[in-house]
This record gives sequence, structure tokens and C-alpha cells, in this order.
Amino acid sequence: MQADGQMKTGRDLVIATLLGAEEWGVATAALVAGGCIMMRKCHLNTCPVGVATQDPELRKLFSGKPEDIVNLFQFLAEEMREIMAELGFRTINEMVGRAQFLKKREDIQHWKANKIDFSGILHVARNATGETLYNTEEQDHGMSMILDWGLVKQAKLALDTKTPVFGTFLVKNTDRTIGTLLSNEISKLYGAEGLPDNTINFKFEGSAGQSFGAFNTKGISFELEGEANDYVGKGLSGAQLAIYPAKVSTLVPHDNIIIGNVALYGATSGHLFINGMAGERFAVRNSGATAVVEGIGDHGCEYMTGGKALILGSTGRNFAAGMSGGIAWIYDINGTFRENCNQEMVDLDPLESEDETTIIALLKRHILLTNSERASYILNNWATEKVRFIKVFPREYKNVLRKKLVVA
Amino acid sequence: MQQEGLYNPEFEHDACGVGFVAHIKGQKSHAQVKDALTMLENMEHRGACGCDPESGDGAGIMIQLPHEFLWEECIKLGIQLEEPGYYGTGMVFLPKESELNQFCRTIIQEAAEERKMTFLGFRSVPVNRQGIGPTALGAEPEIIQFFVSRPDGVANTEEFERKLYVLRRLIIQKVKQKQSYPLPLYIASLSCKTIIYKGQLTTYQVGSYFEDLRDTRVVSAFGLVHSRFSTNTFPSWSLAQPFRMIAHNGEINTLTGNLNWFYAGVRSLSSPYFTAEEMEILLPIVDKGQSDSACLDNVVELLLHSGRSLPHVMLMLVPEAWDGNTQMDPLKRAFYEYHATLMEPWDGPAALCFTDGKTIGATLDRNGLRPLRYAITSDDRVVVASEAGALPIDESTIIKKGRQQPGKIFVVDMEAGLIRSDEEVKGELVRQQPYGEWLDNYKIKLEELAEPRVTFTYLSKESVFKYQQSFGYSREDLETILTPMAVTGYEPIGSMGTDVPLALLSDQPQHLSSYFKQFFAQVTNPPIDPIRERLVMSLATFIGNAGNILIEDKKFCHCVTLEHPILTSSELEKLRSIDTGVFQAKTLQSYFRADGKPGSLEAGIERLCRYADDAVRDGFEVIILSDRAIDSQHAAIPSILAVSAVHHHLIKTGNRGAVGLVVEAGDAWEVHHFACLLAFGATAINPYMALASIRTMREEGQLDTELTWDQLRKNYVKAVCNGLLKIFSKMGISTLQSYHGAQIFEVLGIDKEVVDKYFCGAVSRIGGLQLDDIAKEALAKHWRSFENNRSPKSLLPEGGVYQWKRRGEGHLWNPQTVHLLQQACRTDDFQTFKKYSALINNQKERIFTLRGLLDFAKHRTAISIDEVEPVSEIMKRFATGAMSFGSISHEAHSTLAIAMNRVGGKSNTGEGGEDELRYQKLPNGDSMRSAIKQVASGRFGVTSNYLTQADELQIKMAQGAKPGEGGQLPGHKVDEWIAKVRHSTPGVGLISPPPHHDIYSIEDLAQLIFDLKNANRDARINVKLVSKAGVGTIAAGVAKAHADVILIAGYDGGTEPLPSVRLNMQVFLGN
Amino acid sequence: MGKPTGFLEFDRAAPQKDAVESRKQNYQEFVHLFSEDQLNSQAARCMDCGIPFCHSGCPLGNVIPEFNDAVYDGKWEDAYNILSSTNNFPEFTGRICPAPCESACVLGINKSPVAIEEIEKHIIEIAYKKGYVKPNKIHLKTGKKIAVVGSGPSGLAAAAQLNKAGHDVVVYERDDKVGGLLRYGIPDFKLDKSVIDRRIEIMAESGIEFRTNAEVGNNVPASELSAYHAVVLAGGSTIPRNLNIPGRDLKGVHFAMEFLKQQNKRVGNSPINVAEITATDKNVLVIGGGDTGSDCVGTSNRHGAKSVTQFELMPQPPQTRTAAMPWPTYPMLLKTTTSHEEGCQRHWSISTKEFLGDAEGNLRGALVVDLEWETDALGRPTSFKEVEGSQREIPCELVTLAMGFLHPQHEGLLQQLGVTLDGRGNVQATENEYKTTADKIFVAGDMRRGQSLVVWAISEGRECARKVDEFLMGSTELESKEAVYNYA
Repeated sequence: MQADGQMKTGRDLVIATLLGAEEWGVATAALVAGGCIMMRKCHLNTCPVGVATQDPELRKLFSGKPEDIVNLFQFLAEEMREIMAELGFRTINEMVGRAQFLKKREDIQHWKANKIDFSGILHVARNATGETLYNTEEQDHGMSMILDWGLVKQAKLALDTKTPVFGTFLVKNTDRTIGTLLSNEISKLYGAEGLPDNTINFKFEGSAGQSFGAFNTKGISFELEGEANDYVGKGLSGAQLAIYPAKVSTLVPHDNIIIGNVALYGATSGHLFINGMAGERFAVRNSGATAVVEGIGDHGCEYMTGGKALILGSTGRNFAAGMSGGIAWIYDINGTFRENCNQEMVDLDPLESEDETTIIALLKRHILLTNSERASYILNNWATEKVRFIKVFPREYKNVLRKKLVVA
Repeated sequence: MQQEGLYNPEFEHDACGVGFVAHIKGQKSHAQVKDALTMLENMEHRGACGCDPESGDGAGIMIQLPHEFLWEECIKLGIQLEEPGYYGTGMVFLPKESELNQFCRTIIQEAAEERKMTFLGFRSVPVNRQGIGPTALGAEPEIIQFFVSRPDGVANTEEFERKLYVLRRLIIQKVKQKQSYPLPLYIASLSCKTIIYKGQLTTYQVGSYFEDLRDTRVVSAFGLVHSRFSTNTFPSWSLAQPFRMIAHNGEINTLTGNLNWFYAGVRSLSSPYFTAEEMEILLPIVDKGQSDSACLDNVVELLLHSGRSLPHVMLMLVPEAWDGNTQMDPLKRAFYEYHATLMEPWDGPAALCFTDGKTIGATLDRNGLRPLRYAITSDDRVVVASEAGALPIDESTIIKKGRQQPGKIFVVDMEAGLIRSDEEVKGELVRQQPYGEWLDNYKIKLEELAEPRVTFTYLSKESVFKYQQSFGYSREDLETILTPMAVTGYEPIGSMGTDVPLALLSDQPQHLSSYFKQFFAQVTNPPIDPIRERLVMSLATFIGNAGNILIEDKKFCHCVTLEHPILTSSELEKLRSIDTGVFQAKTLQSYFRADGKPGSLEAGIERLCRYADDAVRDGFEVIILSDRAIDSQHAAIPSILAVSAVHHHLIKTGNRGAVGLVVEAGDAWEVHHFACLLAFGATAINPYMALASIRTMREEGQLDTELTWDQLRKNYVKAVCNGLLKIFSKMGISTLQSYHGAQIFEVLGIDKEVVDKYFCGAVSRIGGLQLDDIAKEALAKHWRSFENNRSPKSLLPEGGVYQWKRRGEGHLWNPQTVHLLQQACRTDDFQTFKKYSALINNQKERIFTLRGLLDFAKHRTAISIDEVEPVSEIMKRFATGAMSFGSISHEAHSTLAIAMNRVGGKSNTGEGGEDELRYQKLPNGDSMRSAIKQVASGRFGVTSNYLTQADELQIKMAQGAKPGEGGQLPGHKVDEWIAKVRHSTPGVGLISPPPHHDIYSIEDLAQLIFDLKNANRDARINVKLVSKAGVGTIAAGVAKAHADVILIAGYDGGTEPLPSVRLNMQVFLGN
Repeated sequence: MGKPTGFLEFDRAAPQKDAVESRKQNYQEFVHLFSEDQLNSQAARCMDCGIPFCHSGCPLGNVIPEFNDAVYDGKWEDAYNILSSTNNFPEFTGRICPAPCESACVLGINKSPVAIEEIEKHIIEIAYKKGYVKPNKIHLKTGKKIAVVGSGPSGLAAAAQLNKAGHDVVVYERDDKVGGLLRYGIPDFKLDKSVIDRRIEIMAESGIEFRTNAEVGNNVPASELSAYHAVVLAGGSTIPRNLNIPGRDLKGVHFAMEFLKQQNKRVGNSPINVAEITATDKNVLVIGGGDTGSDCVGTSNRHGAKSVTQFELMPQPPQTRTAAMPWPTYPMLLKTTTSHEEGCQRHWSISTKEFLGDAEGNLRGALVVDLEWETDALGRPTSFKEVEGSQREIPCELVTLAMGFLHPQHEGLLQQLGVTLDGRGNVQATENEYKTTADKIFVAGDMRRGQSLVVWAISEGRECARKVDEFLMGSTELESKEAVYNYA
């Protein structure tokens, strides 16, 4: 249990502890020790002491030193110790949650404050079983049986020697967060760089649980035959994910849902290919991943700041709300897209030649990975179908790219 | 569960997995039941368990009555059941204690006889307790069934269901007469069509516990299942779902208001389907002490039995976003608008599955905040669930896979044997009545009304100054609040939180609204983005008589409709002078005698309430509460008090639904003031003083703008409206109608009796001002302008809330404390630090914080300081706050990190990633790596490697300084460096959404914790919550979601972070 | 607020001053006013801090960010109203205040502080020009009569405030003209006496009665005060610190005030009834490194002194802040005043051992010695010893002693009233009450707190007036610099 919020002195911390906190956060006081003078202008980028600003000139004025902040925490701890000695506590742990060591001050004269009833705050909950009041047990995160242990085992050669590995696994909706632990292992060994593309090539069959491919990093290439739930490719960090319906399925992919809501949330890099429709908030806050999908729900590409989305089918309402960067191309077969797009921050433009190049390359890759019929159709009839594409281009992003061109 | 300490059962939340399996043609089979249970088991991870893993939070199943099975089982017990549809089956939880048990059984029989139903007998439901956890067993009731036969003259099953409904309410009523809450008896279902098996079980236990469910004779055309994840830590069998009509995954954020409005209208309830006697039995329809879902179920049930179809009822209660949707079919708009004049939406994230035994369906809230996936197979089965794949189906048989969309409905008509789509269902309902025509004929549009006969006199500069003084305006209010609102159309923004005293501790006479702290959504429901997702938001306002919700009548839409609740002075005059023959407004003077005598304010309020009664009796449709007519003898009743008092008084007398309550308020200028007024019952507000102040400033040349008065006024109103949307959305509420009367505030510093009388239902936990004290504060302002002044002032008071001012409000961070702290730290001087802390701690003269009012109670003898654990150990427990590189400079950020690494504490990346350069140690051995990596709603720079580099991962559910709001880093602040760290493009602005889009409820949070634990199993997962009433309950839920650390952050710095920490400590710390 | 980025765009600027040679020719003020643009950009430098340390640093509690903002927006009347809500006489403080506010200005942490004092001066000058400064005619009279003894800044502030509260106020001044130290202590080139006259006129029009040449305890019996409902003593700290060394009695050794007062009378065409002291063609030695010393320097130069030398016992202060004087405290830094610009030799760490005279008893020189100071860890001087062999004689024909003041004059008024004195010889009053030990008698300004700044004197006068009003009426509505609330 941690507590923070305007804690400034050792006394504050002791009270927090008696009320149940085992650890404490100190924010403002640490900033003040480092030179903040409470300008309350953090949002204006004009902080005159170089604390809350990115202005290079103003940043030079920052004069805080680590020693100042170390001193603050030493003082706070020392002050706590003084009070602890007075109250007869040897350790923090024995102090946690002992609200009976607090009482309302007896000398409150203030005409309003003297009406306060502290009984609720100072109430000491019954503890018939004599449980400790501080953290003594660890949470069981239910990870002992997860699929990823199998993945890590299968990927041993790749992890040790970067040799490509292959494997197939059956999944069901209770298999959640696939590939995340594996990615952790890769990051531990290889940092942000990860493994070379297509080093770990695993195929899954069935219905994947939530967070399929979450935070999956470079070197991973997953294929899922079947379907997936919410949060596919959340925080995608360089991996490639391809999802297509079961071979036996007779469904028309672009009319049927295959992955759930909120795919690619906060993704920074990597690829996602979906032969089918996705739910609401596809690619929300994507900042670098590239995605191909055959239809999506409401609020598509919301808050997107980078990356690419190729949507080969219908979108729901409020597409591109808060989208400040990246590009989306929509295959607007019904001519309904304009109505569904929130155009406050984006322009709807025709394709330029470089868009065409990118789209064609993505379509080819999509076909290769998911065997998409719609992609094949478009590619085969590119001359007639390309006019159906609308490019969604955030204005701010466009301006920045243009400026870069001018500079180059 | 009783209120204890700061705990209040009303703070409980839950969320869940939900779903059903149904045969489109209504074919019954046991396989259907089995499949439903399998589906339930596969949603285990959406439920939760408490301290003991074998006790679930609750799970259950609703199926059709298995007639053959029951008939055979009853024969064994000597009970002869009637034909299907001719007997009702009750599923009841009884207390085990024999006397009470017998008492309940007797009441059931008596009640049945009284309702002229033959009581057929009881059947004990066989259960298998193996593997059920001790917590659940400790609270296990005796589960029985009882059977009654259909009385003669009851024409059909619908009518019989209605009679059974009355019977159920009668049983409850009879128990209530003898027993207090919580009632010993709970009726899970009583129907001739359906039956519910549920309990405090895990998903796996439902099938094993109820032996009936394993019997192959138990057949049904559908199985509706639910698995619950509750923040609740106390055993409760009755809170398990499904309920009688619905199973709900989500949260009704507006419950208090919904219930208030519901109770406000019960007096006018009448229906051709119920006799007056029956109606009397049904009241109050919704019982106290139930969950939000249970309350919703009660209302669904009432509306259904009053003749509306189940889809109709669902659309009325959980409508899709219609206001402002220009693409919507006009007929559908009219349908929604007509129903909006009757009832406000029950708003919040909701995936709702519903059934009346013959049709089964699902609908989603307007925001689509809960997942619901479906599949239809070639052998006529429909599978709907929170997750795809929850029930394994042969892929080759699937002919359609989809997801439920925001605001859409989906119905399986098992009698007709077909699925009806959203378009079909709604297409039919919207044509039921000529709703559009009714609206055209009866709706009053203010802008179409003639100019008022009298216009209010223009206030001179002198009177404006006088009014400003008596309503408590400060220079800061004019300069930093009103001016930017009028000039830019937006609310001003500030930084660094607040360090001023709570209203209750301040010496300055306070605005009464300052005692009200807004709630905000965290974990259990998501805030909404009122800018980017404006299309779901609505400020539509209806002024007039709301009518009887049980019947459809064109007269009910005879009301004034407004786009938003802020009235300009000329609009108010129009409203004041409306006279359509049956629609008229009455103005009441909202003042009290300014004599400073005890009881004067109370007398003033009572007088106001009495006049309001008279106005309703005299048939006025609108009451205008005005505080314009103040003078040296009469002071204004603070508007929030006047409105809330009248609002609750009219609710108590059952008349609130009959009138619109408009406030002509001099003391409303900040958005918070408006939010308070609306949340405590005002229908519309005319802020005449705020508007006059802006006008005067413009005329005096004090506004540096070319804008005309008209533009300034529009801007101000726009700023208020936008601000209101922001406040609603922080709570996850989309419409003003739902916010109206929702009382989503914690009261800090008003006496409980006052709150119970005038703000009934609001949370007040530390006591505070009585009415005479409120009067005293009001008079301190009033007399500034109305006393015979010897030294009249030419300036308003400075204020000093947003900025330290010598004559203004006190701040703990002030020139002395900042200077002393910096001096102490720079010169390593503990003595100077002691001077600093003495200034902060010594709150004898001036009080800032609740903790300042506390003293240590010495129960032990002092020890030598040498015996206390060393500084070096204590310092490991410190963390710095989460501040992003982006909000603060690299220099400041890395200095904090180095310092924390030196002392063994933890610094925090804040939202926005971390430069990999900082993972390398510096030549002197220092490290700039932050031990805590934050995961916030923007997810900037959150990669596998970033997560791997953490000792602790912090999920920022809310931010103390601005809970429930997103953030925006403007393009000019995104330089090359920041863009690199955030994985974005330099120069392109970055918006953080208000919610985590992967956390709309508690079970989603559990999922994210699981994700992060997978991403770095060596890191502690920390969930940062912001303190508010009930945060302890949420924290308990978060602990159940497997967080390793919970951080309770202070709310606004002003409200104490600490009190709430107390709550439920054992429960989650022991876990 | 005005302009968020103003401090990044504009540097601190001072208004133009007349050239040294020309200004030395007369006794007029020589600092010009800012142009409108200059003033605007100076006001734009104010950062509207969350914690305005300036506002805290000002003894009057001037609400500086607010008036800066008003100036930036050109809202002159607002600026005047804000300023005058805390300060009765901005025209005095705007000219002669050492501006502790500027020392506390946040911008001063790493740049030059906002030119607050200049802005203050401009606000009031513009207010006079535009006619905002009007007599305060009160219709609600209380019928209470109050005597204020002393017409220096604290007496005047008390009188103005008490008049505002509806009382009848009579101000006694022993000199021929009202103003106290403002009139006869501060040279005209720093504070033109028309500035005082202008203010006194407004005060008189507001109903305040001024009685000059009326020294209570001397030509006015102290018993006359018993006719008043309350009395405010504001006589200042007038007894100067002496230098009791051999030769002190020589002709040509004077207290600074004797020298300055004469000159002010000369400029103001008032009769000087004592032997005249001039610096013309003399080598002048000013002992004391403070503002009064500096005034002696400027006046001597205007007299046409042959040379001007200023001594200070303490070591030369640093040019920038040291650890001992961190921001936002008022730092003891090396200060070069406009008078120093006009020509002066300055010596620090120097002690005068003896004044040397000629046969006629006229001063001809001083025997001086250099000092060596010990300092503490933070560099603060603690003790000194003379530097061996540094003793020398310097020629001088005029010495002014500007070493500060000790306490008020005890003879006459104070003795007759029988008020208790504190250990330092000032009139004793409880810290916040301003009430002396004698019935109905209050005290304010230097007479109470010892020698201090004009800005403190005004503050004392204002706060004392509140106490008097409260004493007479039971409550007061006069502004305070601190937060006060009235609940019934």
C-alpha cells in the first residue's frame, strides 16, 4: 500500500503510515527541493527555473542537484524516526495501519473545523483473525500454467542463437496474453533491438483469449487460424501478427468479426494482418504499427499518432477522432466513409503514387499471410478499385511532413 | 452489510462476464444448458474470488422452467404440478436458522393465499457442497423452490407473470413488515417461464453445486449466464446474477439520480395492467440496498409488465446516442426524444442480456464500452458472450460472426423462430405511435417564443459591484475564471494542483459548492472523451411535467426543450412569461432574513418549500427560484441549497416529476457551480450575475478583446457547456439527463443531518457545518455590500485560491515554506528543514489539512531514537511522483532519478516512455533509470523493452491533479527528443485519452495486470488510484485483480489522500 | 496575465537619467519617465507567479502581479485601485524604496528582476495625471477625533486611513512643513517636494487638519492630546548615532541630518535658523555607507565639494548573492547609487580613529586605519582587527556622520505622556496591537520599531490605523495587508 499527495513532512508520512500506507510518494516537495518555485505555469512551457519546460534556453536554468533531493528524503526519514521514537515504534511495519495512535487534536478552536467528526477516518477495522496489517504475502498471478512457457521452451534455440524456430499450438479463449512473456525473454537478452524478423514463427489454431500478441517484440511472427478477442497486438513492439478464419469456415471474412475491440492500442512498431473484421477502436493510439484489416467498428484509429492502417472494408462512426499522426487508407466500397469520419483533425485526400506503392505492397503481404480474397480482388482489379480508396491524412502530420520535405 | 468506518455498501461496484446460448426455433435440450455452463466456465477469468480462492464473487444461470423434470421431482414429494404455464415456480434463498426459516415459509404461503393462488408446496434444491469455499459456505442460504398455481380468470402467461410479480413483491413487503434490512429472504426468480440457479460460486461451481443442472431432464431453449467480479469483499449470495430479466456486465454510473427520479415519479404511477391495490403492493418497486444491476432489473420488470415489450423497455432505459446524430432516421429520433421527455437514460458501460422466457436478446450502451461477441450457426443456435470462443463451436457450422455494436439491440424471438436485427426491432417500435407528430404538437421551443413582455432591468455598474460582493466574487474569479471563459469560450487551465485548505478549514467565507467534491470514474467505469467522442454526449434539457412512465401519452411531451441548460437572461424572461393555457411558470424568491439569528435560514428554506408545494398544487409547470430580490433585510439562500432543498422536498411529496426547477442564480459562475446545481436537481440555470459581470467588464474596458457583448455571452455559455460535458464525462456519464439529480459528489464539511435533510443521499463522512453556520458564511458576504459601510471598498477581495496572495486563501506552499525547504536541502541543514516542517505541521493558527487536526496518541513509552530503524531502510520506501519527461525537463527528471537511485528509493518515468540512454550507468556510478515505469492511458513509449527495464510497473488509473481527464501535449512541445522517447513524430501533437481503452471495468484491469506481469514477471504491478469516497472498496477490487501494490494518490491535494486508505485494510492487505 | 513569454523577450531597462554633469547643477529629480512602449514591455516581464514572492517581499503587501498585469493591459484605473488598496503613497515608495520586492522577484533567480518600483511610480504618476487621485470625502462621520503626532510617512498613512474610516484627524508637525523625513531627510533630487505637497493638498481636501510648527511636548502641551478620542504617535527615530572619537567637537563635524535638512530648506525656501553648513570647495568625508550617506554624497557634489569620500566600517559587500543571502531574501550587495555615479571615493573596512583640527578648532583631517575582517563559514563578517601600519591621515574639512539612528527623542512628548519604552529606547507596544502602555495612545513607525524604511513606516501607519479604528468602533473595515474576515 502506497500513498501520495501533498505529503511534505515526516509527520505527514507517519500519519499516512498509521492510516495504512507502507510506502510513500513525494512529488511536489521533491520538485521544490530541486528548484521548483510553484510558478503554476507548467502548461505554458515558460518555467523560469527549467523544471517544467522543454525550452532549451530555459532548461539551462535548472539548478537542482541530486544532493538536494537526497537531503530532502534524508530529512523526511530522520523526522519520521524522531516521531517513531517518541511513539515507541522501532519499525515502519509495526506502525502500518495503527490508527489508534492518532486522535483528534483537543485544542481546535476554529468555528468550522471543530465540527469535524474523525470517527470514520480513525476507525480501526475489526481484525479478528489477527492478519498482519502490512504486505506479507505475494499475489498468485496465475501464470504457472500459461501457454507462453511452452512457447519459450520451443523458442529456446532462437533465444540462445537467433536460429529461426517453428511451432504450432492449439489455443482457446482462456489462453490469454500470448507471446508477451516470450517477448520479455527476448527483451531481456536483446533489448529494444529484439531478434531478426521472422526468427520465431509460431502458428496457433482456435480462439485466442484477450491480448493476443500484446507487447510482442521484434523477431516474433505469429499466425492465428481462428479468431481472437479484445486487445490484439496491444503495445505491439515490432512483431508480426496474422489472423485469418479457420480453413473450414464458410464465412465471408469482410462481413464477419474475427478480432475484438481495441486492437493495437499503443502499438509502437510491427505489423498486424487481419483477414476479417475488427471491433471498436481499432488501432487506438497506434504510434507506429502497420495494420491491414477488412472492416472495423466505431472510433477507428482514434488518437493515432503514427503508423499505417489499411482498411479494406467498412468503418463505424467517428473514425479518426483525435488522430494527429500516421496515415489510414480506406477502401470505401459503399461510399459511406466520409459521413463516418470525424474530420476535425484530418483531411480526406485521394491517393498519391507513393500511397499506391505502399498499399500494393501491403495487399501482397496480406494475401501471402492470410490468403485474403478481398485483397486479391482489389489487387487484380487495381485500376478500377484504386479510386475507391480514401486517404485519411491528419493535417498536423501532413504539415510536419511537408516542412521536412522543404527542409530536405 | 452495514456502514462501518468510512465504508459504505453503496460504494460497491461489479463487472463481469455475460452471455447466452439459445436455440432460435425454441428447441429445448439439455445440451443447451450444458453449453451455457461451459461458456460460463470459460469466462472464469472475468470473475474473481475473494480471500479464499474457492469462494467466487457469484455466478449463475437462467433457463426456461424444465417442466418434465420439475413435474417428476415434485411427484416424488407429493406435489402435483399443473400444466406448463399454469403454475409458477419460485427459487428462494432462505435463512438456515430454523425459526426465521419457518417464518419465511409461512409468509410465502400466506401471501400466495392472499393473492388467490393455490400454494402447491416446497422443494429443497439438492446441492453438492464439495469444493465450495468457506467464505461462501459461511453465508450459504437454504435454497428451496416453491410452487403456486395460476388463479382462475388469468387469461395468459403474461398476465400470470404479472400476478407472480405482485406476489413476489407482496412476500417481500410482508417480510419487511417484520424484519429489517438486510432481509432474510431472497427470491431469485418467481415465474411460470424461467428459473434462475445462482449463488456465491465460481463459474466452475455452478454446475457442480446445483445437482438439478446436471440432470438431463433439465432442458431449455436457452441458458443465460453471468460471472461476477465484484469489488465487494463480503459474502453475498443474492448479488449473483442473472436477475429476473437481465444479466448485466457493466456499471450504472447514474444510479442515484435514476433512483431519485424514479422515486420522484412513483406517486403518479398508474397502469391499466395493475389495480390500485396491486400498485400499492408493488411500491416502492425498487428496494434499498441492491446493486445497480438489480435496481435496473426491477425497473425493467415494472415497465415490461406495464405493457411495453422487452426491447421497447431496453431502448427506453438504455437509448442509443440520438441527440446530435444527424444521420439518424427522423422517426427513430422522435421515438428517442419522446421517451427522453419521460425518462433519463440509465447511463454507464453496459452489456445487457435480457429475456422474458420467450425472446432473448442483448443490447449495448451508447458508447460500446463492454464487449459482446456473437455467432450464429447453421443448426439454428445463437451464442452470445463477452468473449469469442467462450463456447467452442465447430467453425464450419458458423454462418455469421459478429459483435454487438454501441446502442444496438439484437433479439432472438424463439416463438417466431427468428432473429430480429437492430433495424427490424427499432423499425417496428418507432412506428408504434406517431411520436414525431406528438412532439411537433406539444413540444415548446424557447427560441420560437415571442419576446417577453417584461425584460429585466439592466444592472448598473454599481449594482453589479454590490451583487458581486454579496455573492462572493473575487478579483481572481473575474480575472482568471470569467474573463477567459468569455473571451475564449473555454475554461482556463492551471498547473500544480492545489494546496489550499478544504472549504471546511478555510477562514474565507466559502461558496457552498466548495464543500462538494466531484466524483470521477476510475477502474469500475471509464471516463469518456467529451471532445473526441462528442457524438455520444448530450446536454438536451426538458422543462416541464415528466408524466407517468407506465403509459404512453402525447401530453407527456408538453414541455420546453433546450439544447443545453444555461439560460441567458432574456431566455429566462421568455420562460417566465410563457402561458400556453396549461403551461406556466412561477417565480419564488430564494432568500432568508439577514438577521443572523439562529434558525433564519431554516425558516427561509421551509418557506421556499412550502411555496413550491403551493405552486405545484396550483398547476404551475415551472418553478423559478430567484435570488435577485435581495436587500439589506434579505440575503440569498445559497443556490445549491435552495435547489436541492426544493428538489428533495418535491421528491418526498412525490411531486418533483410534475415541474421543472429553474434557478436564477447570482452565485453561479464557475462550471463546478453549475454542475452542483444540476446534480442536485436544477433543470436549467440563468447565471445572471456572471453574465452581468462580463458585460460590465466589457463596458469598463477591462476585457482586452474586440468581441461584442453577444459574442462574449455566447462564449461564456459555450465554456460552461463544454465544462459540464467534461465533468459528466469524467464520471463516465454521457447525457445531462442522466447527470441531472445524480448527486455524484462527496460532501466534505457539511453536517450529516443537513445533508440528510437537504442533500439526501449524498455522501458526507466527516460532518461539518450546520444550517446556521452556512447562514453565517452567506451573511459574511452579504454584509460586505449591504451593511452601512464606513470605509466602502472599490475592489473585490483578491481571492488567492489559484495563486498565493497575502490577503487571500492560505497555501501550504508559500514564500516561507518554499524558501526554507530549498535552503535546507541546498545547504544540507536539518535545522532549517525543521523550521520548514514546523511551518507546515503547526496548524494551530491556520488550518490547512485534516491531518493538521490530528495529534498522536501515545500508547507506548518513548524509546531512544537509536533503536528506530535506520534512515537508509526508511528511504527505500520512498518514491517520487509520476511526472513525465515532456511535462518536466530532462534535467529535472534525471536529477530526481539519480537522487532516488542513490537513496534506494524509486523514481517514476511518468507517462511518456524513457530514453534508453538512461539505462546506461553514468561514469560516477549514478543511474538515471527510473525504477517505476508508468503505463498510462496514452501508452506513449510503452514497449516490451521499456516494460522489461522496470522494477515496478505502475498503471495510472487516474491522476490526482485531474482525475478522469486526458492530456494533450501540443505539437510545439514535441521536439526530436520527446518524439523519439514517445515513438512519435516531432511537431505532431499527442493526445492521451481520458480512459485506458483496455480498462473499462475491473475485470479489464485484471487483464492488463496479467498482461504486464507477463511482460515483466519480476516487476511489481502497482495500480495508482485517486482518493475519493469509496476508493477503499475499489482498492479491494484492485487487490482481487492481483495488483502487487496499490497507490492511493491524493485528490487535488486539497482533499486528504489518507482517510480512505484506512478502508478495508485487512481485506486486501491480507490477501 | 499579461504576456506569458514577456520575460523571455524583454530585458530589464531603467528609464533615462540626466547626465551627471547637468544634474549636478541643480537639485531637481533627474530620472525621466518611461515611454509607453518601454513601460509596457517592462510590465510584460512579470511572470504572474503561482507564488509571487515579490508580493510577499513587499512590507506593504503590494499586489504586484495584479498591477503589473493591469499596466500591461493599459488598465490604468485598475492598476491605481489595486496599488492604492495597499499603499497610500506610491509616489514616495516608487522613488525611494530600496525595493525588497525586486529582491524577491522570481525572475531575479537567474535574470534581472522586474522593474517593479519604476512601474509603481508610473502608475501613480499616471493616476495623478488622469485625475484618479481624488480627495477621500467621507459622508459617514463617526464624530471621533484623533490626533496624529508626526507627519512622516507613518503619521501620514495613519492619518489617511483614519480619515477614510470616518474619523476627524489632526496631524501635529513640529517643523514648519509637513512630511517629516520625507521632506527634510531626503534630498530633492531624489524626491521633489512638490510630490509631497501634491499629496498633502489632497489629504487636506479630504478633511485632515495639519498643524505645523506644533511640537507636542514643547510648544503644544501634551495635555492637549487628552481632548482626543485616540492619539497616534509617529514621531520617528530621530536621535542619530554618534561617533565619539577625539575631535568630534571640531567645527566641520556634523550629523548627516543637520546637513541634509538645511539643504532641503534651502531648496524649499524655508528659513534656516542655524549656522549654515556647506561643502563647497571642501574635502568632504561621509562616514556611513548607507542611503543617508549616499544622500550626503549627492548633496556635497551639488554644493561643489573639492572631493567626496565615503567610509564604511564593514567590508565591501559582494556584487552577487552568496550562500549567506539566498534568494528571495534581501541581499546586502554592493550598491552604486546615482549619487555615487556623480563622483565619490568609497572605502570599506575602514575605521576613523580621530578627527584632526587646526588651531581654530576647524576640522582639517581624519586619522583612519584599515580593518581586516574575520568571516564565518558562509562569508559573513564576524570580528575585525586593525591592519598594522595602515594608519594614515586624510585631509577633510567637512565630515557628515550618517551612521543611523538610535531611537526617538525621549524628552518632551514621550516623557510627558509617560509611555513605557522598550530596551532599545523605542516606544513599547504589543507586536500587533500598536497600543502603548498609556490610555488611548497608539504608536506607529520608527518610533515603535526603530529606524527602518519608508515602506515599513507606511505599513505601520496603516496597520496602526486599523487598531485605532477597532479600538474606537469595535470593528474596522480598513484594509489590512493580511487576511481578515468578518463573521457575525
